[in-house]
Amino acid sequence: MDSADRWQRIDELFYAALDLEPQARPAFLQQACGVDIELLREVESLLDSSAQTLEYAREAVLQLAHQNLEPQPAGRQVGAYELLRIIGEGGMGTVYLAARADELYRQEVAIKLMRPGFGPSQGMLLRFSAERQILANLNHFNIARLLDGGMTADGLPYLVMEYVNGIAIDDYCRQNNLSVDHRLQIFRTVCAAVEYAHKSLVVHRDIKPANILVTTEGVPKLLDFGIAKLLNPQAGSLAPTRTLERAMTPEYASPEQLRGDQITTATDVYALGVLLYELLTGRRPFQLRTKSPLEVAQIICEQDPEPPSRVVTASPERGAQHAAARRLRGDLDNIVLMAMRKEASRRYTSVAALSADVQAYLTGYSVHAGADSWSYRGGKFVRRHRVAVSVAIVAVLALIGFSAGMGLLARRATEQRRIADEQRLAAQREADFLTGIFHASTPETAKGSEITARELLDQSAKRIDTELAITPEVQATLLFNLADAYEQLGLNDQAQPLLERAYSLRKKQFGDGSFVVATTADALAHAYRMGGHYAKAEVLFRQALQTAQKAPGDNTPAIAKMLSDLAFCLYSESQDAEAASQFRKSLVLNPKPDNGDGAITRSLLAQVLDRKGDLSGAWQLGNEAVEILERVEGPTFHLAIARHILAGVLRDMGNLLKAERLERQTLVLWRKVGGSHVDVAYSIDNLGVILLAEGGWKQAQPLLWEALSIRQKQFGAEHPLVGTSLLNWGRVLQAKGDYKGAEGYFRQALDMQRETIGPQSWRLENVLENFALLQLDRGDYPGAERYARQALEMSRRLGGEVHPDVATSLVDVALARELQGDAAGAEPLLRTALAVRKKLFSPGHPAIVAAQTRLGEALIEEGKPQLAEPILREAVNSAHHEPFPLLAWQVAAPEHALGVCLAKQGYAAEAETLLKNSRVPLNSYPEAAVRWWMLRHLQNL
Amino acid sequence: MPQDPQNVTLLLHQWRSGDDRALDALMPLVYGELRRLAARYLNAERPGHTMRATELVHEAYMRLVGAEVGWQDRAHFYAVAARLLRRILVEHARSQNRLKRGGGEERVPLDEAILVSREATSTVLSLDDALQRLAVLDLRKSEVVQLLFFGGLTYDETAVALDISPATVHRELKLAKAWLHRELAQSQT
Repeated sequence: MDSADRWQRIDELFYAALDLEPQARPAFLQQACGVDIELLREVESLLDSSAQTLEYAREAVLQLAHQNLEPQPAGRQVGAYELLRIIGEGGMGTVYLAARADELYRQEVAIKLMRPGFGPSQGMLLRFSAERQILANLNHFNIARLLDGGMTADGLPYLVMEYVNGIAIDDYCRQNNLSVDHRLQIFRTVCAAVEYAHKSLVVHRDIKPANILVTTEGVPKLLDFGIAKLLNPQAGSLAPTRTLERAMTPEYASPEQLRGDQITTATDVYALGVLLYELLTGRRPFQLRTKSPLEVAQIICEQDPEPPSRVVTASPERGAQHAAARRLRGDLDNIVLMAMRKEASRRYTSVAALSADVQAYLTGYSVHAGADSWSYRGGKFVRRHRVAVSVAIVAVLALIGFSAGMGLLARRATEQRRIADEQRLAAQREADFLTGIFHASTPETAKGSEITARELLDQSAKRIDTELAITPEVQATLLFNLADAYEQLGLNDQAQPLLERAYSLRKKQFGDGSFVVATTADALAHAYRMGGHYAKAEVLFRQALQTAQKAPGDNTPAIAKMLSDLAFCLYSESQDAEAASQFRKSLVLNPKPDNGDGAITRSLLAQVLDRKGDLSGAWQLGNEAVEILERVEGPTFHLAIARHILAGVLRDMGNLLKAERLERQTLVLWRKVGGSHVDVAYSIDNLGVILLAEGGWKQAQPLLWEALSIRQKQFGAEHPLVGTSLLNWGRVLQAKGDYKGAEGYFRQALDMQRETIGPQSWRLENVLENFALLQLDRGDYPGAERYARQALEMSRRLGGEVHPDVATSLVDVALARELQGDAAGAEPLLRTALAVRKKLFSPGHPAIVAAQTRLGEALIEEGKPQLAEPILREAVNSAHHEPFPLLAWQVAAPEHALGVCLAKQGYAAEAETLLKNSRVPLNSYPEAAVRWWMLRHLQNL
Repeated sequence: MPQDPQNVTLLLHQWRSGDDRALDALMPLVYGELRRLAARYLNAERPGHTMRATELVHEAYMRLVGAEVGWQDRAHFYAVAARLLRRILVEHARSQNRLKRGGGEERVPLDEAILVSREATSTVLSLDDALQRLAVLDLRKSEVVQLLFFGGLTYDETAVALDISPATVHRELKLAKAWLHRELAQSQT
């Protein structure tokens, strides 16, 4: 194959493979390539690269383009200065050489002119001046002074700085072939400058070789001090990817910068560590250029750098490097790595300390930095997964490491006095640190990492008691956050006891009117509810609300959320009326009802209304919620839930096909969002139920089995959700014809719902209803009637007279009566059912059509076809003009009934047409009783 | 200094007919205009977004060629501009590299040194090199990348310039990006 053909082939295979699911690709390629291993490898490597981005290349082109096409500045005036020429190009603006425009004296300065959009807005200019003052006061020989600043006529901010005629420090060291000692000395000078600034509470934030110029006399000068902070006062709160976009040298970005955490002097320590790494080895610690922002964040937060000594020996350069490597091994390695530790608190506590260690090395004294003795490097604990989860691991490791670190500190005799203070301070810092960290993990990102994170969490849980000598206050915080982390991993059982302890600790600490206690109670109640202990949860939710309402300050948003939590709990207990009212209260209280939280509350209220039978209300709210979430949040966890609920409403409205479509969409969304198994189970279960209702038990079977397995694995033996899944599985068996098997599962479900929720609940009613249908299928009509009447009574009690389930139960009882030969007794029940449905649904709704069909059939049985006819004609009419798509049997049933009705009255021709049209496979009818009726009347054809 | 439109049009047609020297003659004519116009657009740029080169290219086109010429020529002009920009940038990047080589080579007086991001320079060079190799394998894919990256065109504009559908542009881009990414990652030191 010549190269043109070969490329053609590669092209074909690439696109063909891309169209397949990832799992299907290897097999496809194997088959397509056969013996041509080269070709296979080629296409595979291209497929691997296909997910990558070339943004960095585009940015590079853009940067160069800017430089090239920018107009020459000669003669341009900025403030009191005249621009002479360009001397530098940065991400945020261009640096020019300039001179004072007046003739008084020729002072050369560097002017950094910001690109529009990167500089501060009008409002920030005030802060700008104040901060500028601080920076201008930084008077240090090794810091390029900030002289002035302002805004040009066209609104571009600029800064005037001391002009430094030098080259970047890494180039300087390389070009002059400096020895290791010499490099270390220059490094120490740089450290001195940074330390000086730290004493004035200024953090550089952007230390990198391009910002450290060395003059021909060998004097290093630091540039752009604190500039980043001037321009972005909330720089610490930037999202990680944003930070990276702005950072032209991501290799120097610290883990905390990427996480959006507090930037402290430790951030500069980290950057200095990277600088030292580069000065000693000639290389950056991480190779990041071709990586996407997320990969970069992952590498920086997770991956340990290769120790400098190993890098130097690996590079193919002159023999002198080997000598250098020997020097680097040991102490210098440790110094660099300690400065570069991922957790800020484990680095050198100050730049001075770092510099002192370098000095100690240079003069032969022992160095403080010790090699990492804990095995958290590489291998065992660190796995490739998304940043937010690894961040949680890092935090937990900090917890473990912290305690061991405290031990080390204790052993140093000279530090003894400071231990008590340090401990307390550090512990508080640690607690805050963890609080921030744990909130960064969400179900969206915890996929695939449960095992490792779990081990670590378990260890931490033990250590909170044993090793850390901390105040109960901090202990409660740690317990709380640890519980949160467990919850994120779906381990509710582990979280509960931790929350109980946190709650009791905080109650003791803060008393009854504290907001913190309220939120803790809310969290614990939430855990109870997740575990299916609804009654306990309800009590605690109410308590949490009470406490929150007593607490000082305006806690409205939190209270709105707690109301919503209580409402959902009530819903789980089938107390729908109060649930709806609490949800409504929550919505009213919510200051921003059109945000994510408000939308979810709406969605949950829709779910309640759905069950109450107010389907149009449910549809309206549910739809609103989905629209809001699509607009405000995009594809998220919340949206998946809202869509799932809406699918349920559609199902109950009878629009099965639309419900199916929506639920399938939701499943895809769950996968995208990384929903936990339990979350996804809701959708799988619902989809199965919808398919069963459509008559497709074969498709429903694997889904309902999966939902059951997931729930059993998650919740164990006793949980209402497991009960529901047992019931649904039983229904599959019933549809298959395995009545005995179905009964077994129904019985388990019945017992489980009674045990977990109590004697009255919708879930229980659901089981009874299905039991009735099962007995109908088996031919045990008296048994069916018994169950159906029980279901009817419970429906009436829970939902009132006008409720969809009441109508359904009435129909079931009527069917049972009819099959026992009492069509006359069935008739009034069916009339009531029809009346109820007419009140609940819009005219022509399939549920109304079904009730009309049943009533018509009963009237035929009673020998009154002429009474049946108008009813059935209406039914057939509706079925044909139904605004939303009906299944074949939904249309066929009334047609068939009308056909029989007409046949009985002697209208043979019309009857025949109808009966022919309504021939639908018998087993597409989901209900056996209907099938039975069909069978009986087939003889009449 | 407005150029004689007929001259430019003639050169364009000559180039389209396959005369590469016409491109060499075109470049200085076009370049001056582009440079002049660039300043306006770059100053109006929104942060973080790609330079709207087509705006300035379009204007340059109008001035140089006039409004009467049809779509085909305009699309072709875009292609020229993109190629031109690429050449300019690559030349510049190469000269940067020459300045940067340290250790043994002649010392460059500091006045001349322009502190450009080293990464950007070497990335552009690697990209150019890789694109040249891609052009041998698959000319159209390399042209798509050239128009998008160096011309700053949108997908639709690229489609017009190459006389293909936007869907094809997207499709071509997938493999092109994958291939380029792989090549660039390998060449990263």
